[in-house]
Amino acid sequence: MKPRIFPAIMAACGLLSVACVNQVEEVFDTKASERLEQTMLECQSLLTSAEYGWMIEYYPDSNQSYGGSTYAAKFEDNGEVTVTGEVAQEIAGDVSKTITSHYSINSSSSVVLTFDTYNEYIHYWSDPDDYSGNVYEGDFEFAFVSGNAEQMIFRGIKTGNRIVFTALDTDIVTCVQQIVAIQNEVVDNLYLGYKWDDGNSTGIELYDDDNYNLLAYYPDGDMDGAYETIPYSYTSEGIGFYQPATINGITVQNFKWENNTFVSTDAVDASGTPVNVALSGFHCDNFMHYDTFIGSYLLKYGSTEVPVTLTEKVRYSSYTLSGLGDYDLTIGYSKSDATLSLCSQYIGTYGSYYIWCCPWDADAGYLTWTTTIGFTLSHNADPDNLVLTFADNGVWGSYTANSILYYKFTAISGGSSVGSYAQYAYIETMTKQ
Amino acid sequence: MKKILLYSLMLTFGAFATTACDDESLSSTSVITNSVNIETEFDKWLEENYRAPYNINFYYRYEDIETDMTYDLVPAKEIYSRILAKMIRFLWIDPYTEVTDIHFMRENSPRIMQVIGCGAYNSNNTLQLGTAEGGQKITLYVGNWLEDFLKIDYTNRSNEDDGYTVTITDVDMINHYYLHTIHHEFAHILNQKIEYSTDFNTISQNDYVAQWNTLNESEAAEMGFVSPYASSASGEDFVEVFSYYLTWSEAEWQAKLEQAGTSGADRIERKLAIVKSYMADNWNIDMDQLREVLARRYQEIDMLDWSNFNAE
Repeated sequence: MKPRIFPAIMAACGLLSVACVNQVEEVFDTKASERLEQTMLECQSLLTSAEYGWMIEYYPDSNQSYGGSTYAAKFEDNGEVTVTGEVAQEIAGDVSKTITSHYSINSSSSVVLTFDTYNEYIHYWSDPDDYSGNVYEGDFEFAFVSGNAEQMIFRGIKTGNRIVFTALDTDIVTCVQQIVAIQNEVVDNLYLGYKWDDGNSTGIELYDDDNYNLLAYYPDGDMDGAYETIPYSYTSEGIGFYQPATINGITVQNFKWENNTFVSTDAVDASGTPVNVALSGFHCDNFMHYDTFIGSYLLKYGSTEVPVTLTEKVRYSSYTLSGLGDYDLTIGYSKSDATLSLCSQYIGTYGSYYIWCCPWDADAGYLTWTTTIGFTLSHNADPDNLVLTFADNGVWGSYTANSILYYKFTAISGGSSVGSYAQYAYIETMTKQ
Repeated sequence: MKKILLYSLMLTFGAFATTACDDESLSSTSVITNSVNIETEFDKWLEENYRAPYNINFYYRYEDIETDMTYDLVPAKEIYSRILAKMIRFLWIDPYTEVTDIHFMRENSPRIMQVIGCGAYNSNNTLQLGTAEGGQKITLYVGNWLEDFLKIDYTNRSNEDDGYTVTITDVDMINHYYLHTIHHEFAHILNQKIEYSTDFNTISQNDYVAQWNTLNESEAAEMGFVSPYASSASGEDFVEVFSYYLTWSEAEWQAKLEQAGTSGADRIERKLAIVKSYMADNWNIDMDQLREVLARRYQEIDMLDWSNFNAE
């Protein structure tokens, strides 16, 4: 055996002795670390060189299920970044209230921009909720992909989402104020969604989500059929889709808000020829605006008429009805069918008792405190002589809500019923005065 | 003999051959560069108060590579990191230095202290307040919760540019979430360097449970544990006795003994005796002296100059 080992070792030594005679050509002129350093400097220089800062079309969640949320940020040489954004409305109630924190640019496998000290706005989408894990799964670390003086592209580290920074030509507060102004106009219209108009299209509708910046597209025009979700974000001009969408053979991503319509700025047809697409808002049939319902009414029950008022409670969502007895009631508003609703609800205390407004079937002698049961208030489509008519909302089933009882209970959640506090039998209409 | 010589020659040749072509000289410039992130006044203060004297790197800016990837985390708000940095120096590092000397913390403190803004939420609905990794790093979570435990008054009424004062409104919560956690993790580090007597393990040896979070405070106390978490393992039990003994007032400690009842209190006292002798014998630290120093410093905490990072 020994003689065989010997040549093997010789061969191994031979291999070892030639292994280093290689002529690997350098692919890059500079070292990897120098190139990373170069990219870090480039990223830093681009970020800080934008005189007014950047608009950031940010998408939390790897499926963009919460749509986009737009920020504007000004990066300083000293490592500080000043931020405002759509979320400032919710958090501070005022987008002119900016928040300054730190950012850093580091390299791991790529060059990464990190918002590395807490900023209530930036970290809104990434802060984990108590005991339920991160709700929105958003990023605050972004890998630098490419950039120039007008636009920088980043990739969210956790989500992989493409995040676009666009250089601003106004200060960050003005940018977000423009965004909020457009958003308010859109919201004020109470659209259900938009009709897609490219000159050849018929019946294509995009439904807008009430909570997040998402459009639902029903390719077959069937609301019960398959749909695609298009996440979008507001920009200082209008909206931008997360990625280009192709609808009816036309590919488009960005829209301007003009005369209450979104007008495409980059739509092309299958051959790449520029075309125009308009997204015009639509309402349900019989639509009546939330504001139209606010005012004084005479409420008729039985042969009695009492003056009542409807005032704003939660804008575009509910009203306060005052004047029917000693308690205020909450009336719902739905833009999807332009009706109001009055359901069973807790309305206040009476001594040690808790008063509920209960739908009552005065013929059968039954009442209920199930909070889905109640009335639909439909309008007569005549804003100048507005009449709202009460009708059972169909949830109760075997009984019909035709009257209202204010009823005493021993607990706020119901508990044991004690007895009637007030009765409004055969409630019929509210006529605007 | 010949053969051995030949093999040796060949091995030498082989070794030589493999390294001979490595003739690159060292570059004069470092490949590790960090020219884009600017050092702030606070960074300089940390250098002078943590890094230079104690070789502790106090990380307040989020670094992905240092954080636990299994959690969704966010950075701490900078002003809270500043307050914690001052507080931890005053109520954790300085007391040890006062009862020993500067070398103790130099030699035994972790090399990294890291502050994270939010909690690290576990799937069993518990919240991780801190970790000590290999005696090298202590991570403090929930830094942003400081908001609820103190009041910051800005001199110019709007931001920190012209300084601010800090009034601690809930020292118990600050103890619970931060200082207790640091003492707890630090005791782990000391235990990792010198083990404590195994006599400690025998006191509650049959009572340690995995589902510690199902016990409430008084149930744990009656079993001889200063906290529910102490019942999770003897190592945790030791450091919980250590940290609560330091951060609770004498009245709070007595209240815990009372809650524990006769047999529970007896166990806690026996555990404390071992903790005290461990610290005295191995680290030359009198726990009661350290406790007095801490109690005095808790009284002095309001006098700290919270917003000045130039002096000191």
